Amino acid sequence: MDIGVVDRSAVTGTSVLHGAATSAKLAAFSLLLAAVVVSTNLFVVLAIAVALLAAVFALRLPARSILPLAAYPAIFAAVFAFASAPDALAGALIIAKAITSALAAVTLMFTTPYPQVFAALQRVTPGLVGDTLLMTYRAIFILADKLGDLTRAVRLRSGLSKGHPVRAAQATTRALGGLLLYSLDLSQREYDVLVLRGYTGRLRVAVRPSRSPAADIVIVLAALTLLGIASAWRIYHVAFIDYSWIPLAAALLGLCAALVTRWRTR
Amino acid sequence: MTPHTHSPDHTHPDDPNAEEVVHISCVRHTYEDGTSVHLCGIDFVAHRGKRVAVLGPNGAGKTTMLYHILGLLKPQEGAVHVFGISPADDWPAIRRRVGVMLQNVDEQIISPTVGDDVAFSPRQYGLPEAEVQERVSAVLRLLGIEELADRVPHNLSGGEKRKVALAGALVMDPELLVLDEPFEGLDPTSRQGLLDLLERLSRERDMTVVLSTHDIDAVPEFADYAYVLAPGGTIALRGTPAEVFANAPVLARGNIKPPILAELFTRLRERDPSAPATALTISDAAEALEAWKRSPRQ
Repeated sequence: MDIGVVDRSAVTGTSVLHGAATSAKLAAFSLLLAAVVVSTNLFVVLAIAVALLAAVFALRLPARSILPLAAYPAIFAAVFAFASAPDALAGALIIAKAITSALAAVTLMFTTPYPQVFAALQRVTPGLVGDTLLMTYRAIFILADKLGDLTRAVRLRSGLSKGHPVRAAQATTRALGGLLLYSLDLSQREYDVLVLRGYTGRLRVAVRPSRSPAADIVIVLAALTLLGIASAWRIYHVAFIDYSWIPLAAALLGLCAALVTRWRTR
Repeated sequence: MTPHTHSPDHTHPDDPNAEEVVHISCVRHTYEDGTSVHLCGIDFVAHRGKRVAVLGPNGAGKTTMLYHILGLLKPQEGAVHVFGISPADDWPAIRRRVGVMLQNVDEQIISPTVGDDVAFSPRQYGLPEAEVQERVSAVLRLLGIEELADRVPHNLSGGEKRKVALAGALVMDPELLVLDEPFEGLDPTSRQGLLDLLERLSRERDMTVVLSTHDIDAVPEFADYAYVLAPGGTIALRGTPAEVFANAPVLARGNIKPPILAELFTRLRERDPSAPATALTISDAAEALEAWKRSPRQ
């Protein structure tokens, strides 16, 4: 995966979510996670996932990049479900929860620059933790480039030739070892650069102002509604069980509307 | 960028009236792998408003010298003074007066957009956001990269990244600018643009510029004076570019080839002793050749 795609989308995107206040997006993300956690009904979790999908399509976010990333955790969740779920429905619930949580996180990543997320977290975390998270920002890109260079170099020097898995593994391990040493040096150099450029123990990040406070409220209210639905189905499980299809149907309708709108305004 | 029209004034480094901005005397540093750099011989001095080039072969200690100026290394022997202060001991006292562009600019750019990155230092110094934006716009305009303000840094070309890093170094209007291999990876037009810009900044703002470079041809155009490091770090030579490039034995010891114009004039004199002595910049060479053409031949 090219992490530059994530960053480019987050920094240069123009959707309503991109323009919303980071605090509103973080609040909505937390509410969605809470909704997923409290849900014990597969249909309700699927409804949250479909609602998020509808938002992705309606806001013209890069769905082709977002969906594969959101699907990654399904692999690990499937292994866990296979090992521990008592029946197929419980297993499906575990997988759906993993995918939905990941979809919410990836949507946040694609619509909010990394430093903005951590600038918000910086207020509630110890200074060193917040600064460390912020400092990793450029290091991730530099290390990703370096890994690409190393892989190319290993391949060009026949380190990954077919038919020699042991040799290939040795070459890859050496390259990764080199990357580790490079990353240690890099961290020192990055710190030096920060000090030279005025770092005094607290990184100051300018928080981007919201483009529309009304949109911020709508985003938080939407997430709150989903949490309300998830909580209602959890508390009144017995009474609501026969109506579980309703949130999912509503979310599917929303998804259809988003897809049609996206297709018509293509 | 304006075309290059101004030559360095080549004030001699021994001028007693000039204010010292950087002074390094006999510094030693030993790295963890045992490599030792001993910057001794002649004291390194950079005066206010002067452009100083540091030349030397790979591994001679050019970057080590710059890191001492920036307080990133603490001398194990000898002394370093920048604005009269030891930078390794009290960097915060002088950091606002020093701008830096390191060799690997990728590691110097740390923010998600160019505008954010250039704004990094003023925000760290707690300037009001309106002033931060004013400074960022001014420096981006100065470097002719206003259109990059909202771009993501890792998608920029090498030359653009170099300009962004330079913008970050200049945004606080430093009195001393330290540049490690600033011309590396630049195409000829960008290189000339950077030379013109540094010359203009130094002249208009009375800014001292210390840079290390392998680009010998840039030195006569840029530097008021130059220092030559021999392998191991010995500061072997100091003087105006004309003085430095006239000292062939020391240059040879430092694996430094004189500028192509100097070589051209040496060859001309070998063939015809009446040829001009030497000229290190294009404009000087043109004048010297013009005068030679007009002079009566024996």
